[in-house]
Amino acid sequence: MAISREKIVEELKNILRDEQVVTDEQVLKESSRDRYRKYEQCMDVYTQPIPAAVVFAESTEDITKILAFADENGVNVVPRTGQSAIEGGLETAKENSVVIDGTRMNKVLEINETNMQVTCQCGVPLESLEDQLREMGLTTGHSPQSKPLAQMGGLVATRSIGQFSTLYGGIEDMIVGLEVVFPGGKVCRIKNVPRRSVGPDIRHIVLGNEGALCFITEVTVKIFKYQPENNIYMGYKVDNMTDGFKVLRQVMVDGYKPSVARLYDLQDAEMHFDWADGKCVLVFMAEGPAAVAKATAEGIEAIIAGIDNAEVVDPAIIEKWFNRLNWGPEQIAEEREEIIATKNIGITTEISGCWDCINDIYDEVIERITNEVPDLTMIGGHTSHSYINGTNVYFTYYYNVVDCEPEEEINKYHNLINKIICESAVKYGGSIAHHHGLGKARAHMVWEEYGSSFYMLDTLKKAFDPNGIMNMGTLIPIKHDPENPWRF
Amino acid sequence: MITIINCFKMEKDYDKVSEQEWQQAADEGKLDLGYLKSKINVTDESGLELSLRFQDACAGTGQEAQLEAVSAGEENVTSTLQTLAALGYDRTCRICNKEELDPGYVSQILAGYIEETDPDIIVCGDSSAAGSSKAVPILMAERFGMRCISGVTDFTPVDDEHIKVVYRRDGRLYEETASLPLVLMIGNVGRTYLRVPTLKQRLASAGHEIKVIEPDRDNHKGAVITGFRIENNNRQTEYIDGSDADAAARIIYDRLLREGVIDR
Amino acid sequence: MRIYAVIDEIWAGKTWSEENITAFANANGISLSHLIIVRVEGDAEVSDPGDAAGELESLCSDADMVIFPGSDAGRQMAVTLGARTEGTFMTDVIEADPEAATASKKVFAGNLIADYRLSEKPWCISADRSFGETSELAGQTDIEIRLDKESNHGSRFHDRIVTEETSAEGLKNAKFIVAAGQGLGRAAAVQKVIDVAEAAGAQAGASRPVVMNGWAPMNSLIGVSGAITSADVCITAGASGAPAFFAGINRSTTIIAINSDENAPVMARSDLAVTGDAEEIMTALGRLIEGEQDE
Repeated sequence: MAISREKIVEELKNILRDEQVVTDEQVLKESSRDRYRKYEQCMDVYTQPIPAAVVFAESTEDITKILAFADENGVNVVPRTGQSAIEGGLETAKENSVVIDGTRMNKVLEINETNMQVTCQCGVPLESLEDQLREMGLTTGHSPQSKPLAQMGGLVATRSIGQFSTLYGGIEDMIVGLEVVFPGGKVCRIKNVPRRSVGPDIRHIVLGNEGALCFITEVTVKIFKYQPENNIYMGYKVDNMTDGFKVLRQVMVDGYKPSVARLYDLQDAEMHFDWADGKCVLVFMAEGPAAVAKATAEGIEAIIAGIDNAEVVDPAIIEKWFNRLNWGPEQIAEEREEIIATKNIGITTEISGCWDCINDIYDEVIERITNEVPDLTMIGGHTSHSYINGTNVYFTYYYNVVDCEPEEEINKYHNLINKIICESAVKYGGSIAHHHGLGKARAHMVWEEYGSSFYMLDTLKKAFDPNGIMNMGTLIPIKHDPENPWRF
Repeated sequence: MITIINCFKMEKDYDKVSEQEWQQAADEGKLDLGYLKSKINVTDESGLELSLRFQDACAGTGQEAQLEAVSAGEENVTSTLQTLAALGYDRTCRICNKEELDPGYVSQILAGYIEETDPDIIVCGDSSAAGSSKAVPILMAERFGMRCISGVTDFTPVDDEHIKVVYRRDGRLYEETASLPLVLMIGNVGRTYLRVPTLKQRLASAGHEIKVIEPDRDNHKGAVITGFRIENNNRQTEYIDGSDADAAARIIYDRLLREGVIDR
Repeated sequence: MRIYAVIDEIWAGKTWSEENITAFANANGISLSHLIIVRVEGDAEVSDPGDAAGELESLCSDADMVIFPGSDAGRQMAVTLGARTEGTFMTDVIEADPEAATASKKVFAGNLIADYRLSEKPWCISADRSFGETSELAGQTDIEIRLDKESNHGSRFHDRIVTEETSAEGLKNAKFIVAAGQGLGRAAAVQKVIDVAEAAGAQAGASRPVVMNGWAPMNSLIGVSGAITSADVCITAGASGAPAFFAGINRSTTIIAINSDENAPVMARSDLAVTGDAEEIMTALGRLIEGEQDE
């Protein structure tokens, strides 16, 4: 017999202070979903089960008690911090779920300059941490476009990556130790060491778990010297994506690590720049000690010189454009009004692949989406995270919502597009998600993504969350129709 | 058949420019905003969307509307003209013009093109962020001997000689049936973003030819800009850290009491 | 110098026109030679401010400068007369020096002031809307123009309905204003700020992005295309202080700005700059006000 909504709220108020347990109707509705269902958000429509409560935890002890209660009573919980999730990870997919919000755990606990590490609670906003560090001549090196909103707990839980990753890496390269709480209330602390060989790296059970295995309460990440005075910006226009991918690969293979290495296709370039003139655009930034930045810039220039018809773009334009890229509450609010007025909506999906297949994935996705998706107004993409062995592609697409109730938009358009993108990624051996996480949306293709290794993910889930209370539906779907996996 | 010609211009969002850049513009007289994406001027955009809605509404009154668009600008105008063609604008034209702020000149070159079309309605936004002269549509109305209505928020078909116009002027809202031809200056209208064409619509209009005109450069008449400066509105500011909302509110409250705008 | 001023009784109203032109002339040290008043003949319905230009053309042919009020109609008259006389026109003028043949206005969304050299006369200018403290009108109107029918362009209209907008009258004259800015981020936050304003006895206004998003009514717009206010105290909550908005509050005696960004333009232009979450601080202020009311 499932525990009732009222009972859940009552019990939570016994565990926590009344004021920490929020049951305001509007808050509950908004907490039932995230920006995966962007159109529903704009149209004020709610299709997911409304949670029973949103609780604001203030300490690891609070989390311990909440998870113990949830585990004992079969209550589904959704861990949350900055709310910038865009793949359905925050949807409360089961009836009477409880959202555990870590925003109030917002203390920076220690900035250790000797060890170049910073320790903070899960609710520390990245932007405020970064501002604080920069005043000290330091930086996290982590700059996802969600920086104005995102907090440390969520950034670790989703395996996030930032705009300077080609130099600093993703969160997996930055994380040192952490503290987490498992269902049932078990608190685990992983200590801070530079590297060790003491068995499997258990941090990777936590990194990317998207709230499906544990709640992250504290993280320690590396910090770096902040030397923006050495930044060198570069921009180029090339004829096509093949040339662009070639340049990116060469830069990586030759051993350069610009912090920014991006390639925009025609359509995406047109949305961003006035001066693209029908060409693809490459953007680089070299960063670090002066000698290194200079050598990186020279190396890239030499590689570009080998491409026919490559044009140089004024670096000043690139620098000013780049410094205005982040996505904060004002842009979101303005975007919402435009969506309501035009019924035209833009969304993104990112995938990754090795060098030998990424161009094929890109070509097939563009072709299939152009041909198979109704009312499409734009399809394009860019790559922004390169590695020695491959890169990602971030597809951007816009469509008009025509003759369609808000509740149906997700299946008629968004899921159809994701289906095409993921099918192409898997077909050529790439991955269906580069850094936004599987969430609940792409979880429907988890078996294809993992293949035989699904056994490892499945076992982890059964081991750490035997009663199935941690963000059910994320990573491994719960409402899955094998005949129509992309209808939900 | 009612012919509507829309004049629009592309602009940058000047509020995104830093204070240092404005200072540099004032000191050196140059402003390089190549890094900002151009967008259609807000009131021009309303005009373009309202014209499309007018055309949609014509289906109900059994009339037909032909839409045209012209812009005096640089290359960055071209993609918008292509978008308009995809949306059903029959004729589009770019008159080559490099950032000319002089409204007399702009209206002259636009009027030169519009004369050939002999439209029933000329639609323009009523304010440009750059020069902000608010004069171009009025000058065109003068040239063509037409009535010019400013502050327009909506216009709908009635018959081939008349349209219904809603406009705002000096604190009053007017609604009337007016005879054509007319120049309409579009004011602030909420929720009139330009609709977005599908890729299929773009494909269908791929053969559309944008007319490009190099205008005759006439003598500069009218007021000439001699320089720029920045207005300093800075006050003697007292800065307060408001991270404790209650403490900050208390400081504000006390100030309000002191200023006498609230009573204890 | 022959400098005429035109008072528009039909559209902007006699009082508003007089205050606007007088404040502009005083601020620029300009003495007026003639004051022309434009009014309607009987109860004729006039359609177009441009109609006045025809009547004015002959009257002002020997003028050096003709000053119009900064209303929608005034601007249209200034441009039309300038075009018709083949003189020079300029709208929203903030500074003018007839002796030096120069004038200035704001450009680039109000971020810069452009200085102009005036050439062909008559110079037909409309004053910027922001001018307007009440002061003694410098002289009496000595010329009258009556408009009684449509002008030469033969445009007709019928079935006209005119509604007075409960516009920013309350804002224009308010001594205590609270202005909501886009930084509040959502409609509910803006509503909260409006509620606190009302509890405090202040008039609530909003910046352009806020009204264009539908978070506050259009008639609460403060700025160059809305109300120009001159309050004793103006609190801005979540407004960055873009010039187009700031022009609407610059005449406040005291500005209290609340913004999460210490470097937002509004901060250095305020008397008290509070760096913090505007919604939270305004809510806390609301509690204080209500608390005092309960006592």
